[in-house]
Amino acid sequence: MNQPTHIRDEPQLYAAVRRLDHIMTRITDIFAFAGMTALIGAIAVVVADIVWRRIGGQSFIGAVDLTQFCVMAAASWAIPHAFSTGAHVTVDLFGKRIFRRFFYIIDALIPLTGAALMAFLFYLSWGRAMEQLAYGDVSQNLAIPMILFWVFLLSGLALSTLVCFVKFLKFVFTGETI
Amino acid sequence: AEITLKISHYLPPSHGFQKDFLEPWAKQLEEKTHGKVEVKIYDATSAFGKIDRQADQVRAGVIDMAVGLNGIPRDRYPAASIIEMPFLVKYADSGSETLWNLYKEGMLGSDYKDFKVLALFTHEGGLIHTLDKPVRSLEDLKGLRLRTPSPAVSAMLESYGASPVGLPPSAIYENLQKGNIDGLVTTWDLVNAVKANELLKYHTDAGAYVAGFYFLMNQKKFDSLPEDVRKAIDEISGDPLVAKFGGWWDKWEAAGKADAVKHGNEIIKIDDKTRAEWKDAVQPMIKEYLEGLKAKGVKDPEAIYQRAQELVTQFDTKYHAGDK
Amino acid sequence: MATEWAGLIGFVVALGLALLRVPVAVAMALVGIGGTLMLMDWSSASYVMASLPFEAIFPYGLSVVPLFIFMGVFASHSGLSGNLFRGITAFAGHRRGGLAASSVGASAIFGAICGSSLATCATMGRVALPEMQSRGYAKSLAGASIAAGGTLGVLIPPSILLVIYALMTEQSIGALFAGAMIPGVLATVLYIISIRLQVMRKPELAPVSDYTPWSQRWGALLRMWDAIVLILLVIGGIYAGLFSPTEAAAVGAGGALLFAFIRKKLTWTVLRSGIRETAGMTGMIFLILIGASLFNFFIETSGLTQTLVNWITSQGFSPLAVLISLLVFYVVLGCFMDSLSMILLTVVPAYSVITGVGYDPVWFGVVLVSVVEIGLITPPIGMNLFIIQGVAPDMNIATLSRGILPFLAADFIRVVLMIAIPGLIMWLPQMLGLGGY
Ligand code: NA
Ligand code: NA
Repeated sequence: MNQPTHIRDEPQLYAAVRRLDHIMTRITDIFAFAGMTALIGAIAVVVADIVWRRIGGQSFIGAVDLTQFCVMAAASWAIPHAFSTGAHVTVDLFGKRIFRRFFYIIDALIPLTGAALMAFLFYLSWGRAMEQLAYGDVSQNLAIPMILFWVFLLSGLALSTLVCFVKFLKFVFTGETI
Repeated sequence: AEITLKISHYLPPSHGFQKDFLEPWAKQLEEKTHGKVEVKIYDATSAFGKIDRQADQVRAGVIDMAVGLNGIPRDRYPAASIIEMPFLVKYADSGSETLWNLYKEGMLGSDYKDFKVLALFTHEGGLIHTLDKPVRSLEDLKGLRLRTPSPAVSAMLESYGASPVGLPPSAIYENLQKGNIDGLVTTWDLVNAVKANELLKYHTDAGAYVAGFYFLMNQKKFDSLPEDVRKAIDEISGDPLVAKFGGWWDKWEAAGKADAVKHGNEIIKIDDKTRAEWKDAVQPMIKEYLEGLKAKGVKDPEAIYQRAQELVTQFDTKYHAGDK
Repeated sequence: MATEWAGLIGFVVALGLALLRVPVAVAMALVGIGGTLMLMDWSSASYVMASLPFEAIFPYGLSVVPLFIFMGVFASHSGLSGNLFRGITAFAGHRRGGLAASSVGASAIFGAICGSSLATCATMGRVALPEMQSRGYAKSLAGASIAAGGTLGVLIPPSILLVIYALMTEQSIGALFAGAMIPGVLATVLYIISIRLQVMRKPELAPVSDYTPWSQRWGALLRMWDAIVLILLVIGGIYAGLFSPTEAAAVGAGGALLFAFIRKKLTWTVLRSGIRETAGMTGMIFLILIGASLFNFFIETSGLTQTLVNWITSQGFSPLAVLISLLVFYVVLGCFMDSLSMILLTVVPAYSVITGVGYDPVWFGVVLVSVVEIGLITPPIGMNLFIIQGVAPDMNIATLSRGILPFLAADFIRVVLMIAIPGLIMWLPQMLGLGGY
């Protein structure tokens, strides 16, 4: 996938877009690693709860809240990573050989649509998150502020919007997908 | 009809909330306004059936009225949560009247501000349901793993040496069956809904706690209605409505209790003397809980608890003097 | 226009967008948002939709999804799959077609650790394909047996598709896992029979390998210990009632990481690529869940599901006819789509229709997952076939498609058996007393 089909006359712009794309990939990578570290944290919490219960005969009331907290981070920060590496499932019925012009337009529209969608979801979620912040809602057992759960989702959606938009720029300037 | 009002709640359409409470209430309103008002009810299966969002969607004006649980999301109505203190309320009628009177007397502070409050109510005193370890005395609770409905009940169980476990209703059956939990603290209504009577053997009826519920309306929407409609709503809400919950809960609870009897389970009745002992044992926890409410903006929690106890005694005498 | 028609058109549009290579999650979300805005006023629609993405990924039950992915990824990096394949080969490799049968057997056992078909297929492809090619196996048989074996990754529990079906239809994960156990074993046996019949007809497909002496067999068997421990912990733990699915998944994930470390396979590079792989699959699945929640909200609001159920029951079709039409629809759709998207796109109406005509929800869940998994090995779009191509670029789709036909026949026989004998699915969950509310 690394053959630019038509390099434009603006090598500087071309390089800048590529660098931007590279930076976005790095950022999503860092977030994905942070999220997966949280997932390992969730594993530790659940295992500790089991051991504590079987051996100590006690229960660890906050285990569910903590697990949800970690998984929320893992899932939210994995989404931009999946956009950035093209891991999202697509159906490739026609292959790339036929309807080239048509699919060129589609290929440009897909990341742009993705960016618009993620931005819209961010806008919707933002409103709801602010409502929860205003009420000071907290999780059922450990009373973790719900806004923290929302921060994971909001940052994941914002990052996904940026990733998709940079993919769109990259496609327009370099003709490269993913 | 020229006006459509939307009511939502979080229970399935077959539940008593819809069949006995909301549908007849809606019909009454339609009749009183001579068809000027039409009411649409949204149950748990609809887009507006999420338990944690009933009050929020009324405030946002997406829904006009809603019935919900005070405790979810937690800490929204800290003053009203005092009604959920262990061994305070035994009967749904006294509990509902008490909560409603606390509100009318202005004791609940800013809990329901910005809402038109149509009714506040509680359920019937919850029970301790267990698999094969009967709970006849406080000592029996030690070391039991019990599913808990609320932070207040969790604190109570911990103070007795039991381990509270938080589980969604859908996970109760499987966890009982595997013996992951020894039992649960809840109403007959929920035990019946999750078909747990076939696993449980003992039910300790101690009037251990109640949960509070609200029936709220969007204040702006109410103010925007024509005068005759507002009058009609007022006539069928508040006092006359709150008075009906005792009878309704008797009916809703009876089904679950009958099912337990059918399964040959033992129902352990705790006498008032023992109940008072249990209540004494939990006083330090109650004190701590009330103290904690101050940080959540409740000015004088002790006074509310005091008044609640007076009201409960008053209504218990009124409704249940001849029970024993 | 009746709102049901809007629902139906929305369904077709989502399918169309997906076929134009729009990521399935994006296609579902776009149609869901657009359709909801058509059916409801802005303030209600935006208020309800504002919570959907959060609620799509928040439920505690969903935590098993990234945990099972994590376990599968690290199990495949720990060298455990290679030991599985060699362990079984030591016993069966000397028979004609034995390496192909061993790869199916190893896929089945690996499937009891890994929750995803693609990961199972890729892992066994890396391990078993080079071995079969070096022993002169026909490309069609070698590639097809791994592609087909890969589908066991989802059928044999743990299974991410069954988890998602369970969460969407509020069924018990434990009951669905138990229900899929016997069909999973049946699938393995039928694949192996299919390989036997192929090599009996055309012995040139698979040359005979050397006999492994018993002294070496025991050693090969012993090296499978970590796989056995993981399976006992995860699946045994769930069935014995020791663990809830989330606990089992966390124990399995921690175990896979620990075993990779013990075997000294947990280098920095492996950790990094394993984490990337887990993040990629997790992000993909959770975005599809978000898209599906928006899409399904629209479909439910349109009333399409209820109308469809009412129409089908009023027409008096026999339940079997309804079931078979639906399954044929899934097989056709499966030629073009991946199994997770298919389930999330259709399960809301399909579940209502099927339980409406009287089928058991747990039974249907297992049949549904079996049938959508067939889509992974049907051309032109069969993800497992693509994965084999990725591992062995010299295999073309035409060769693989020819090789896969006998395995499709085995799948067909299995689905017929599951429909004819519901006990194949229902017996184990009932024995274990799973299900209920
Ligand atoms: Na599996
Ligand atoms: Na296919």
